[in-house]
Amino acid sequence: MSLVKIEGLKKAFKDVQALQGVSLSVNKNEIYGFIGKNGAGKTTTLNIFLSFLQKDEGKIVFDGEVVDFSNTAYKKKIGYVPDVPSFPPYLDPREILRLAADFLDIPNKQEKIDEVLQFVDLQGVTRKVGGFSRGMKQRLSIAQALLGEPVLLVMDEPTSALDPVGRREVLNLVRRLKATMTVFYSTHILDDAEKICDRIGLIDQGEILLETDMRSLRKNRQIAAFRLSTSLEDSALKEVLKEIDGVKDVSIDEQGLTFVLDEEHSQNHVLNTLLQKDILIHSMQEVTPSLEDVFVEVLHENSA
Amino acid sequence: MKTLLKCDFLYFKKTSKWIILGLLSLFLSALSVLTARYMQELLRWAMEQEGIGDVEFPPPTVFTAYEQYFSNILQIFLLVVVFIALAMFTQDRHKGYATFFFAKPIKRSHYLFSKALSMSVIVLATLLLGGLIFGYYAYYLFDAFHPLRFLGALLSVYVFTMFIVHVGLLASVLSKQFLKPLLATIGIFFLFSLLSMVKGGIFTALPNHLMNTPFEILSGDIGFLSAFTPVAVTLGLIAALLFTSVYLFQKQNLV
Repeated sequence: MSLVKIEGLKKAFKDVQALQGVSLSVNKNEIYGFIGKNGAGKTTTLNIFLSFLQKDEGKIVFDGEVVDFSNTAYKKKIGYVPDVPSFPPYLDPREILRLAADFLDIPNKQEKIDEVLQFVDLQGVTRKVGGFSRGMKQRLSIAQALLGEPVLLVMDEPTSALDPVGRREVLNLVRRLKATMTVFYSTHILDDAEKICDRIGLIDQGEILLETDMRSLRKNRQIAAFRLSTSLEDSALKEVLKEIDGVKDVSIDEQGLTFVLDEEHSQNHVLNTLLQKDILIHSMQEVTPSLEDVFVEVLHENSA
Repeated sequence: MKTLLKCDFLYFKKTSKWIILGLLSLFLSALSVLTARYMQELLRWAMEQEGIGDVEFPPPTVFTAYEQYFSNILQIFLLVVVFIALAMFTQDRHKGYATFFFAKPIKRSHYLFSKALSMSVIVLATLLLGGLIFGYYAYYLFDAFHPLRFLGALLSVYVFTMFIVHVGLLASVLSKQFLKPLLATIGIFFLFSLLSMVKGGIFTALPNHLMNTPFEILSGDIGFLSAFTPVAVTLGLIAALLFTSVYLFQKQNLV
């Protein structure tokens, strides 16, 4: 069941066609990874969805209703976390959250404010937002976005401006939200998407190239690649493997030796051959393609 | 709208802008009366020190204080109001706070109405406060004060100030930066200051005439109707500026 459905979204900035007919759907109670390089059209799509920008063409349906630029009522059901959050620096976190609560007209304001401040670990902070680090601002941004118990949390590259510690904190917060709400998570950091997303949409040059769930993605893009460690040196092992039927593309990197097997041969065939040669096998494990591998492959396929 | 007004008044409070405007208004009020009352004595003393004696000055009157006060308000106070108003109108988009506000269910028209209304209230309150102090000192030092005429003059200055503020509002909608709309607004203020020197014809019905009206009201040179025309025209222009700003802002891309 789609919570957000975007169809044929187009937007041009002067001569640059930023979106060339983006279509995607975000299902209820999933974390949807909206993935693409910088300048691919992720932020433009989100800005149109939030009515910060006018669209040229296309249709957006949110929670069963068509999103209209002049109608702001749908935003009551949305929490938004931008890439670089900015708040009036002369206010403290509670004042910011009180304003947000008033805008959203939520009941039990004080109780909710305490709850979200605790969730993002800012409950004891009383100083002005002007003195906050980027990580603290990002956590406050998540707090204000969660305040109205939104149906959808939109996060636009929430970790891109953070150091590794801040990034881990934000990812942990998003992980804790999993299953309690739908998250539309835009990022160019594939590692982040791989850790938290259920489904992804891959955008490049204003076009969606791929939209699938993570399990199917790995299954469909799976190749028979294995990492092998034996009693032999990797360079010597490479020469042995090259002689075995069905083995192709043997490579050595800092993590060890990896080989790819063709579809006609099984891994047992390789293991038996090595054992017959009296080579002691320490470990052999299947290599799962990373999201980065898939991302590069899809971009390569598309450019070809 | 109520929350937006709360937010805008919080801005004035937390950034101490209302204190700046209030203190400036009080300072100009007191300064105008005191300089009007004692400037001649200071000048006479300074001239005696230089050996220039026997210079006769006409005795100071409350009208000298009025003139001093409204000149100060139309020059210093109004320019400070323009700076504060433009900072307030542009900061959300200029400094990136707009996404925090507009990701919430806020109507853009309410957002602009709130900015204009809160600015109008703060300016009126600080002007009235300054006027009270002026009245007190004027009565104390000159034994004379014309409260109704003074209030009429103050309100005509207030309407002109609001006109310039609303020019600033439109300029800030047209540009997301701070400097460009500020310069445009100050430029228009100077243009109207120049036009205020033109006497007669249609110019007496335009906002520029409100820069002369206070002096004419206080000296009793004009009647209610003569003062009413430029005030009514200016109020109409303020409404046009406000609704044009809202119309443009509602269609505008925020990022």
